[in-house]
Amino acid sequence: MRSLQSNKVLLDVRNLKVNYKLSGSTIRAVDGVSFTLKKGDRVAIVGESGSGKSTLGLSIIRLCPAEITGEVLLEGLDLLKLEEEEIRKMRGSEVSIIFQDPGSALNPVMRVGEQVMEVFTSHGFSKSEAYNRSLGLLKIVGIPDAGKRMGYYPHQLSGGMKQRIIIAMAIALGPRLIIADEPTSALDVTIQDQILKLIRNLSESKGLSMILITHDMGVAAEVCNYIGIMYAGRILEMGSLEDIFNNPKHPYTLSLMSCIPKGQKGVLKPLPGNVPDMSNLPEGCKFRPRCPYAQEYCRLDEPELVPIEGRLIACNRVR
Amino acid sequence: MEIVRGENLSKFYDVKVSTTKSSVLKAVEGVNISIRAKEVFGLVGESGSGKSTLGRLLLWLERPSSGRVLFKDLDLLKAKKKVVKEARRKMQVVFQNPDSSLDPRMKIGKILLEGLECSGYKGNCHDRIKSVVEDVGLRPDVIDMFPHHLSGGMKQRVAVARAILAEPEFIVLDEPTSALDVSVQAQILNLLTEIQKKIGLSYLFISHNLSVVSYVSNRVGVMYLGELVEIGESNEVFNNPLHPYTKLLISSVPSLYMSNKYDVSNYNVIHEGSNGVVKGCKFSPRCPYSDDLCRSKEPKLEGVGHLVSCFHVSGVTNAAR
Repeated sequence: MRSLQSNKVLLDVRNLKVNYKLSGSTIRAVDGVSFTLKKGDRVAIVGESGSGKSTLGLSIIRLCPAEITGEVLLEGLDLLKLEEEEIRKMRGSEVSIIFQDPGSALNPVMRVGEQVMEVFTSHGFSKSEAYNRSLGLLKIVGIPDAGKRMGYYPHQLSGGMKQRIIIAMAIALGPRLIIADEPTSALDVTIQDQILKLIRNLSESKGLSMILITHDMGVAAEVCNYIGIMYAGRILEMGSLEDIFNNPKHPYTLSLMSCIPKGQKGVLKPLPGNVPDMSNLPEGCKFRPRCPYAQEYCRLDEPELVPIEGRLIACNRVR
Repeated sequence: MEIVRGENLSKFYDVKVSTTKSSVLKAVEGVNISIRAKEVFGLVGESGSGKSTLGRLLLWLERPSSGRVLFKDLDLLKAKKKVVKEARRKMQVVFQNPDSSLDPRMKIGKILLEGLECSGYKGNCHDRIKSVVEDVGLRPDVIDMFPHHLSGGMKQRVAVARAILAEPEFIVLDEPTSALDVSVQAQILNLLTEIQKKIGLSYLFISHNLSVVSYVSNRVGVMYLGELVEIGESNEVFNNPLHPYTKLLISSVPSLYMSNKYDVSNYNVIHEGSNGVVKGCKFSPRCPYSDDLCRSKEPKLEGVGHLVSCFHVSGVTNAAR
């Protein structure tokens, strides 16, 4: 597997579990996820809706109101053990997040310039310093006529421009890790293409590590060099972009690939059934009810994520 | 044979800017479209390009500001009300979001029955519903369930069932899989293709997802700011796009499989938006090939089989090659 910057591990997630407590039932949204992310690497977490991919992203910087257990080590520092005040300071300066809908991530009654400046002023910068840095940032993320746009309200900007503002805020304090949660799902394809290129270039030029959460395999391929396939709160397969896309091994990854239309060639082979109900998960392997290769032992034994042929796979059959 | 034809269709909306001022939004402008029997016509374009409005105009759900719609050579503007009603029974629609197109307080059986009764179906309604429910891959007991008992994919199957119950000849599918996960999307796409082949009806398949459209369509139309800029056989348009906008669109799709990418780095990135008045070709502000002619005169959709509205088609293709 190729590594872009160095072999130094930036993020080490160990046995992360996130439980949402509802009245009477517990939703195990993330159920024992472990992975490492090296400096400068970009990993995509791909999964269908309800697979727990957003919860995974949010729980890394403790932004979800749920019971989180396990370890999230950012260069050895366990983010889950920090005091609330300490984690609040980490957000933005060490780890920042980009959300899906730029319309709801920006304050509609505040000029966008002020919103970018606020990132600086709330981390101890003076107002004039904050202004100059914000102006520079807007130029970096490709906003034309940045000085004028600083005085605009969000509704005066297009969706793509708003997402650029959000990206500017995310990189403002020079974080080491960016979590992007479906950053382009609300945008048109031509705008999506621009934003994906921007994200990729920023990550490459600044050596930023990134976790990209998406349901779109194409988006993952455009930006990332590692892919993790998530299903019902677990990672089922993880490896380099080439390995996962050119030679998928887990039955779920295989089926997911055959669900994507490839132009007029080939026939779609849809997966039977639906994404499982998270409050009522099947026994054993979570993918078993939809798996064409399921055996009796898949019911008894939940497979662990183990290394096979240069990648990680959780499947009893492949092992 | 032709099922539906739109001639010179335009739809303008008045948009209130303030209490006294209003401006005109040209959602669809001067579109000519013909949908043949037993074909799937894919309509692609970015949001705000007028795809859905065009679909609604062809269904006669909205009256055009100018132009006319012909259903099997019947002019819907001039025909008698009763005749129009009869014709519209042969046209159905499936919307994007089944949560808002199915009444949450009605059982599935009643939702389906209501549509069938309105269509003036002569046979035994209950038998017909039973067989169609089976055709769309649902268990017969869904008839006694409410929409909230069903998953998104199953609800979309109900919407498809309701559309085909009345034995239509033409269905507008307006982003029918955009709200679904990929595994469920594949199920619905296969179902729609199966039904189309089995019954032999025509679809207008509206989607912003190019891979989906190229998978299902025989012919494709590309819309930009209310106008059709390119029409052709699906293979032709996706493998040999002529309009600079179509090239931009195809190259922008992040995909593992679409290998036909063009160099679009010289395109202007600033989107003027549909409210900005552009003289001449509407794509000229973004187009790297635009010249004085493009900025003063509007190109017409021209060609045989593969139609395109661009003054530079031969020049464009040469430069790209």
